[in-house]
Amino acid sequence: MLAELVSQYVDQMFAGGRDAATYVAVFAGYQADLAPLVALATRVRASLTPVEPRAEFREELRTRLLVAARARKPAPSHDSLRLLPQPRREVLIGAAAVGSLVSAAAIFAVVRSRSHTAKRAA
Amino acid sequence: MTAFSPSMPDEVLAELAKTDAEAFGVLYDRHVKRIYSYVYYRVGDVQEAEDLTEKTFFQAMSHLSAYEVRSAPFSAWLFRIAHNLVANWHRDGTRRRPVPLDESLEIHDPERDPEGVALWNEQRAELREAIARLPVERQHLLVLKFVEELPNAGIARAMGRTEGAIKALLHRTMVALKAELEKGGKRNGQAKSAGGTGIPVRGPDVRRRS
Repeated sequence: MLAELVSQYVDQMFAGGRDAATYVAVFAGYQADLAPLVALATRVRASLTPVEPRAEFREELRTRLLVAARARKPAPSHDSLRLLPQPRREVLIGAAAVGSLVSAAAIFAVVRSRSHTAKRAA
Repeated sequence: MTAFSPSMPDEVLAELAKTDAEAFGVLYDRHVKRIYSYVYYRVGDVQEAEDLTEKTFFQAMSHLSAYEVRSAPFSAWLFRIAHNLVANWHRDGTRRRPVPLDESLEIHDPERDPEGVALWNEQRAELREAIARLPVERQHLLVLKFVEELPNAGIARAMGRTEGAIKALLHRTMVALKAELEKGGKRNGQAKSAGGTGIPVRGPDVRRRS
């Protein structure tokens, strides 16, 4: 519950909500634990102020980023991949068939050679 | 040049930026201050903060094709890149603890009560020292919450945790910070974590962004 209350206080503080004392008063049952944490949150917020980069740095980096962004090659989309030259379907089927025949012939040759060797040994 | 509506969501711009440099420029304009501020508070040095901010945006640009809108909001994705770069920076053993920023960046307003200003600067330095002694993960959370004012859901995405875990971590962090402040001057100001910390003891006096 305390975690919830602290988190809620910080969020409402950013939104310009109730001050620490008013907020804590609403949750009287948690006052002892909540009050120092809420006061600390207010202090942290006042101390950690956002920092801005130097204007020259910001401008110079922007220019370099845009130059790099314009120079980069866009990643190929699915559509553009489809436009790339593809091997013809018949060529692929023919290559697969030849590969299968070579494999089958090799297996046949090995089996035959082994059976000859076995016969000779017998 | 393409014109982009100011109301165009980051995620739409990120999709456009995959092929359109100008869209990436708009994303840069929207996020550079927050990323720089986040990095600055993590490394505590202007030069290093500029270097890491630059790396964050170049890395974002080169990995933009891998960004998926469904996985995280663009800002959380960007903070994650920055977080990883800062973590690597801290892991690099050759890094030295950053030198506190120049005192000229503190409040020096002649129209304000000098004693009050001095006390405020001192209290701020004390708080930053206490934050710098917290574990790096807790410093990370404080920066995302108090500097970047991210909602818990955004912090959860950036840190790869659940929203409930972030609330619990925030509570534990505040309790630990309170304890560190109570210890006060007993410590000598050395950072507890071996990798060094980023929260600068003296920070610039910059007005909160509207």
